Order: sequence, then C-alpha cells, then structure tokens
Amino acid sequence: MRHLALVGFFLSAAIALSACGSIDRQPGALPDLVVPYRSEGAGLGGGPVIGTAVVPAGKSAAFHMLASISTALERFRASVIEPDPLKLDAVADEVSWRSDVGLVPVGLIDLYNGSLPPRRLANAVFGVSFNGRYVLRDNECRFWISAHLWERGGGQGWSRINDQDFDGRFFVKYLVSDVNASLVPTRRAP
Amino acid sequence: MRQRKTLTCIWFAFFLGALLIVELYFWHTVEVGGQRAPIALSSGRAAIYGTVISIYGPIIGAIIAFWFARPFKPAPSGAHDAFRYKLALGSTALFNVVVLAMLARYHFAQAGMLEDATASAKTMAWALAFLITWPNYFYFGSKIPQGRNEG
Repeated sequence: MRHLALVGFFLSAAIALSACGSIDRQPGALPDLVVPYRSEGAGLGGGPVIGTAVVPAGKSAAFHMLASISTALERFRASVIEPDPLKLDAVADEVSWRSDVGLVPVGLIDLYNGSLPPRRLANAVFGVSFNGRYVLRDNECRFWISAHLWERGGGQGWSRINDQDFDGRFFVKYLVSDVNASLVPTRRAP
Repeated sequence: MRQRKTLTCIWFAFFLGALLIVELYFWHTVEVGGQRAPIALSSGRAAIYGTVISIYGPIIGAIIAFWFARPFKPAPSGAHDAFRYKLALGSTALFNVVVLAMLARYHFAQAGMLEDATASAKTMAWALAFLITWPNYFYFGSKIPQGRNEG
C-alpha cells in the first residue's frame, strides 16, 4: 500500500513537473520575432521623418526648397497644394506644406512589398500624399516629412489607410532622395 | 395563393440579382494607372449593399408583412384579382429591369464614380416607386375570399 502511494506521488510529481516545463518552454521555444518597424516613434506610418538638406543661401531659399519638393513629388504624380508657390513669402524661414494624393507607381509597390511591410499592398489602387514643414537657417534646411497612404478601387474615391498599417519611411526616403538630387546641381552652380 | 407566392419569389429573385450585381463590383477588376484593381474595395461593401437594401427594403418588407396581415378589402371578383396580379407583375418586371440595368451599368462603362452610379440607380428607383408601390401593396394586402380559386 505504501509502495502504491509512493508510486502515485512520484507519478503526479512527474506530471506536474512536465506541465510546468512545457509552460516554461513555450515562450523560449518560439524564435524572437524580428519586427522591422517600430510601433512608436518617428518613421512609422504617418509619423514624421526628420532630416536636413543644403539649400542655396539667399532670399529665395524658401521658394527654392518648395520647388525642389514639387519636383520630387512628380515621381508620385502628386503636387504641392499648400501653400501656393506663387504666394509664398520669399523671406519665410519656416514653411508648412502638403501635397495632394498621387498614384504610387506599380514598381514602387513591388519594392515596398518586398520590404516586409506591416501590410502588403495588393488588390487596390494605392496613392500617397505627403505633408511636412521645413525651417531654413542660412543654407541649411531642416525638414519634417510625413507620408500618408491611400487606397481605392477602380471606381471609388481615396480612403486613407490606417497609419499603423504601412511604413511611411519607405515613401519619404524616395521623396527626400529626389529633393536632394534636385538641390545638388544648384548648390554646385557658381 | 400560388400567384402571390410567385410574385413574392420574383421580388426575392430580383433582390438577390441586385445583390449579385453589386457583389461583382468587388471581383470585377479594371486597370488603373498600369495596375489592376477591383472596381470597389471590401471596405465599401456596407455602403453599396446599403443602397440596394434601401431600394428593395420598403417593398419586400411590406410584401412579407402582408403575408401575415391583409388589411384591404378583397377584389370584387376573380377577374379583378387576375387583373391586379397582371398589373403588379408587369410593373414589378418593368421596375426591376430598369433598376438592375442602372445598377449593372458601371460594369460596362466606368465613367465617374461607382458611388454616383449606385446613387443614380437609387434615385431612379425612388422615382419609379409609383409603378410598384400601390399595385403590389393592394395586391398583397387584399383579403382573399374563402373558396376563390386564384389560379
């Protein structure tokens, strides 16, 4: 009888230990997830991307920067809708701007999907709009740019995609690259 | 009673047909800016279905209600009842052909926005409501005298 009780005790202890072990193993058994996007902070979704660019010093620097942004937006078939470039204060040292919604080119969608985004872009027409602000100090321009992603069907208007569902840095990166590209020749001009 | 059942089934068939036509907007793809996309995204399903339901809801709701209560006097004779049936059937067919054509139009000519196309189908349906409302309401709402053979 005593042997039976002992066997029963060890059996139940073994079951309890194995259960605890399996509970302990569960978190460790899974590999750590690599999350390529931060859930908070700059860069995710519509969060701003911050950077600097060199602009030619002078009274028209604000206009020059806006013109460069307008040129860069052509990649997305978008344009600056605010402020009106022709009414821009030439000596402004701080400018807030925003664009309309432009189509995201198909090639860019493929590249984006290849970058393991929070949500693949598929089965819709996708558009992107930007808004930002820049501050001019001498010939340095500090800028904040946010991207907003939109989607629509072939017969529908744009509806904005939740900021948590895409990576805005991807699109801003191209815009900033194009802004810098259009600024460089001017900077090197005699 | 068989004619009433037939007409009720016709209404349900047209309603399902209308739902099918708008459902196909979520599957029918078109090319926009070099990429193919469905005419409507799933997120717009509630709005588009809502339009169809707002067209068919009042009349089908009334027809269902008249299966439980018939508040109107019966037709004076079997011939009157037969004429009422033909009138209700004809106006129902005319109304639904127009509404379904309006709803399906965007599958063939994607001009403007789908939302505008469905809204114009709804406007047309409301404008043609006079065709179906009273013939169907009185036909389904009339009492049937005991022993009358409806055919």
